[in-house]
Amino acid sequence: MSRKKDEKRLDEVISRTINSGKPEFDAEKWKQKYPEEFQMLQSMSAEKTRTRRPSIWRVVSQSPIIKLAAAAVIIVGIGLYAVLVHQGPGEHHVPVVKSPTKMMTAMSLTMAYRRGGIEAIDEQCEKAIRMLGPRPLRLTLGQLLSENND
Amino acid sequence: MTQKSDLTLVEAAINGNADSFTELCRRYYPAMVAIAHSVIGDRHLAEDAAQQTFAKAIRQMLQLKNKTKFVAWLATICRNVALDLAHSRDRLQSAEDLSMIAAESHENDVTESVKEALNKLSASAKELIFLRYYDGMTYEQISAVLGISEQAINGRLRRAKKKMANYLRHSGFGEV
Repeated sequence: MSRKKDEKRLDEVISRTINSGKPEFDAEKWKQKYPEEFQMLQSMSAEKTRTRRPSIWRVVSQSPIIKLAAAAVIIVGIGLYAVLVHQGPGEHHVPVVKSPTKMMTAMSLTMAYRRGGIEAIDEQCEKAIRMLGPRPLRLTLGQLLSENND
Repeated sequence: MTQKSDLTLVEAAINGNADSFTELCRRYYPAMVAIAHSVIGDRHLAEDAAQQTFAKAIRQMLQLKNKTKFVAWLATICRNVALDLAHSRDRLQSAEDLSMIAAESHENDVTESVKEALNKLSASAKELIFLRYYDGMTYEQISAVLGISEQAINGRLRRAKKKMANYLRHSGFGEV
């Protein structure tokens, strides 16, 4: 007997032994047998929304675009934080009231020059003069000395 | 039976659409009965196991992670249900009952030998033979149920049949 015929015969024998008619699913019978599960199936939608809360991490990890956007937000956030932390309180434009004498010291004038060049020195001098206010046209020696003796 | 329509049905079933779930049951009932039959060796119990599988699937539906592997997941549930049923049947059945069944089942020598040859196979090979010959499932359908490639199915099926043929030859059934 040829190999092909042997195989065919084996197929027939197995089929005859195993195959006892195609099983048909009876949905109605099944619903009657498992009413609790059927009820559970119908209420599945509500159950799903109750039990599964959307996880941010899951949403982020599923889409590459959202991943990139999240990474960009994190980098920008870290950058802003670093800038704010490294910016010392002196760099904020907090008005500091100095006396005209202090404003005219060499150190103060050098700092003004570094900040804005010769215009800044000029501005600082103007400011110091303004702070001193109007001066009397004439000043006696006694008045001048009394001011220095204070 | 396209993968897409299966996926649509699974998603609808998860959202509480009973008709979609019923359609899935109708579609995979024969495969589940075949799997259960290969484990239990009894048609009626196998049908019970398949029905119980669907009930259990509803209870575990929200745990299903990969919806495209619904059938393979269902088959795993079915195997476990069938094993449980087989164990409880074995516990309940006395030795007397077994001898009665043995006496009744001497209907045909060839059939008996084929059953013995089937029992010599591994559980997975036996399951494959049942899926292929129970309802004449295609390799594509079996592939969806078992979650393995069609080439792997072809190879496993060939080896299983060769083993069965050798057993039958040694049992005195000539060339099969």
